[in-house]
Amino acid sequence: MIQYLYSPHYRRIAQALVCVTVALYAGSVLAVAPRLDWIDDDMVRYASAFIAVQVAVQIVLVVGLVVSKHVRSIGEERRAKRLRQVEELISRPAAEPEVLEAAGRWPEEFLTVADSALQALAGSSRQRVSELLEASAPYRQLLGDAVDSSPRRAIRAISMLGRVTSEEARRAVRKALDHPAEAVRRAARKAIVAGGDEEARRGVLTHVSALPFWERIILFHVAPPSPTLDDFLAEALTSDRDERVLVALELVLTRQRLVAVPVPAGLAESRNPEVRIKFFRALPFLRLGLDATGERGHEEVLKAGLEDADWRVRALAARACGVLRAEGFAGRLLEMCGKFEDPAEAGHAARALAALGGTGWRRLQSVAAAGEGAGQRILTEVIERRMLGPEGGR
Amino acid sequence: MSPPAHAWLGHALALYEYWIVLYLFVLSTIYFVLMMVGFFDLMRHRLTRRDEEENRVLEGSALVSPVSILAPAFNEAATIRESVRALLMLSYPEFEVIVINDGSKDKTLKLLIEEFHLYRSARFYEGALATRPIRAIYESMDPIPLIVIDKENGGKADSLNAGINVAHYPLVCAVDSDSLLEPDALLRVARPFIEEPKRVLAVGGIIRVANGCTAAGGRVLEVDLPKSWIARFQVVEYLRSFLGGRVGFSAFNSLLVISGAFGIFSKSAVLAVGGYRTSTVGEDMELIVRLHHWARQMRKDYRIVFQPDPVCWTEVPESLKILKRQRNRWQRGTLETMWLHRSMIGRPSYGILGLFAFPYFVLFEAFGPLVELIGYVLTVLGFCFGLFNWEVVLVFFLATMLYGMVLSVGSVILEEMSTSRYPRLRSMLLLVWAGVLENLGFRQLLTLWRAQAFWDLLRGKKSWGVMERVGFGRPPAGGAPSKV
Repeated sequence: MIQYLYSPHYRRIAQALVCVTVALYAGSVLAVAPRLDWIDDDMVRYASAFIAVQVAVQIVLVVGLVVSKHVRSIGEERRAKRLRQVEELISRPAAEPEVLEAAGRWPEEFLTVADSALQALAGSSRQRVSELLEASAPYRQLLGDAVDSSPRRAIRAISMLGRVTSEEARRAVRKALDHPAEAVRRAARKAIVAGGDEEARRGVLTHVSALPFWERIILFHVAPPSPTLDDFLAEALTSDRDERVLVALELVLTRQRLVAVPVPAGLAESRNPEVRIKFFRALPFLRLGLDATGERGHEEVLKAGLEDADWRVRALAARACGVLRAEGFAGRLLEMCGKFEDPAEAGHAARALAALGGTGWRRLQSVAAAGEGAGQRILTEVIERRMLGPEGGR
Repeated sequence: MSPPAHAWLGHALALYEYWIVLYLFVLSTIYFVLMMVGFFDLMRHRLTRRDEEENRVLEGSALVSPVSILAPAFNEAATIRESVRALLMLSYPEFEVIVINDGSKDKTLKLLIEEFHLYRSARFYEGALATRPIRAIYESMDPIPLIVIDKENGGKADSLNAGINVAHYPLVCAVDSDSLLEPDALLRVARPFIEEPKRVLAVGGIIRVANGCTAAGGRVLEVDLPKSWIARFQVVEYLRSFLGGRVGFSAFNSLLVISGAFGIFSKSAVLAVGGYRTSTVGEDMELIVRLHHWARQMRKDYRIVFQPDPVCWTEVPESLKILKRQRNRWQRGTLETMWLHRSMIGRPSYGILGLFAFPYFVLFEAFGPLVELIGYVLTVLGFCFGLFNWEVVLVFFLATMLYGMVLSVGSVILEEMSTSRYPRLRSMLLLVWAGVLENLGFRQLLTLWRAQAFWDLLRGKKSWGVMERVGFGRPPAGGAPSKV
């Protein structure tokens, strides 16, 4: 039943269920009313039937609530006790037979503890838990569950198997990529990118630009550094398809680490402003390399960015000047502080000057003292923040 | 009274009574359907999403849109430090907290300056929205993203507009400075913006009653029910309204209200519609309706969403006097909004909004109290003049009332099935009992106060009234008045 919750047609299913519920409600009233034949007035009879149905519904609801709450609290108490026992067994050295026995007896609790242990531990301790899981009875079940028709069960299995490095676990996760439910496929993609083999990871990354933005962020966050990731970046950044380039730049921005592969400097002059914006935003993390226009350094690229027709590109190029300590552009940055299309442009230029320090910073102060209008107010804010605030030259 | 006149009056009254019963029955049926829609939506939300796990990842992403949190404060000296500290501790990749001191007459500003080491800042802002003059902007010398705007008193809407002017980020989140947000509430409420950045215009979170809960350090530590029945009735009311009504309306993209205590908006959309309207007391509802109005006119593919899991805890009135003021204001806000956007009613070009949501609000939310009150008055008159068969009337009223009770009990069950914040069985049973009892007096009292709002609106009453808060987890003696 729960698998319908994952259906892409759920909205319609829910609407149909609502109609069925209302119909059942009305039907109950219609069924009860003839039994109240001692009431002469038809309307009063139906109203009384309605009251009877509602009283019955209320009693059922309240009893259901009380029973379920009670059962749940008892169940939770027992489960907590078992979890503690399994935790204790797993943490005890040379208790493998006992752990495996407990795993057979309480599979849910064992899987919960193993899952958290695999997330929290590293090194030999993690290896030990992983081996215990692979040797346990619930593990066999998990391998089958990964392609189970119930998405909930499949997701749970994939999430666990994704933390295990055995070939059979990886195979099971790969199979889940063809599951009919999108939620299961998503879980499989995540598991593969986070801990799958290189080939499968490459397969997922190939189609990553078709995924929604938020899912890409999550995948990029969980992906460990690997040659596959570098290959993906190198291929995507040199691609002639803008959406591939944008996705690669998203990856760079998500990871916030220096990229090992050379990035074509020609992206600074891409016809797509979105590409240029993301490129200059990511520039501090990029190692520029050869492209059709030859090898160019950061300075040349920044120069192009600071002269861009789009103010958003200019603003981000200015910000990159501050981060990359490009002192040679102090003059251009000062110009931007005085003449700008949007206050953000002047703000980024001024902050870059504050970060650079030296002559540019001193000139910025004198410009701020002499100027007027919005530009002067922006510069004053930046100078003040540098002098008084916590993040000088942010 | 002559016999023909007596008979005619009897028929007229009986007709009206039947009509009232039908009216209440239709209202309850709509609520019932919305609750069922809400139930199926909540089940899906709870069982299929892996928000907690995913949010842990998103929490560290530089690509998640930053948020400016706007917290208007008027005479909030009792709670302001704790509230700001709680806001600063929210889990979100990048955000700034903008407290707008709306001409407080107490020590609100002084306390903030001392506590957070504020300096008078030259922060640049553009006055895109007209507001009362800003006296000064303060920022902290500590490494915390706190900005305090000190402005002349202009009301909550004016303060929020000032905050929007000063905000640097593309999303703005309006919160009441005397409410408590759960640590992950901001990320949860912003989630639709992350998932559909181009479509979503606004998202609202759930407001829960903090009376009776134990709070410390700006966090609700233990959830329990309030001691007073007035507050308990409001717990049921809030559950019914949020988990039943709003989830249902949101499913049809026809949500007309996002609570002023906790809602997040696309700043560009808010600026496009001209910000909050300062001339209404229901600025939160009016803004949402205006966003709908604007988006439909511009033929935008958009969504205004309610999220059931981002939680904002707020203190509700426990005195009838304060509650009366609050409900009067809410009702006036609804009426004003309906009047301002009356052109949307029944217009097919506004889709389900014009054909269902708006007519529903006009018929049942705006005029409901008046219709119900007239019904009560006529019933009393009918009894006095012996015009009714009281058994018939009683049966019909009982039927309608019980229907209301099913909805109350249903909302308590929705709570248990969705978030299950009340751990004790006793609390759940008390809530069920409150759902029954609220129909025997409390609901009628609210109807009376809401009906009174018509008169106040016609008189041109614009005041907000004052709410006396005791502060979270504090004894009543520590309270200080603050604007609701």
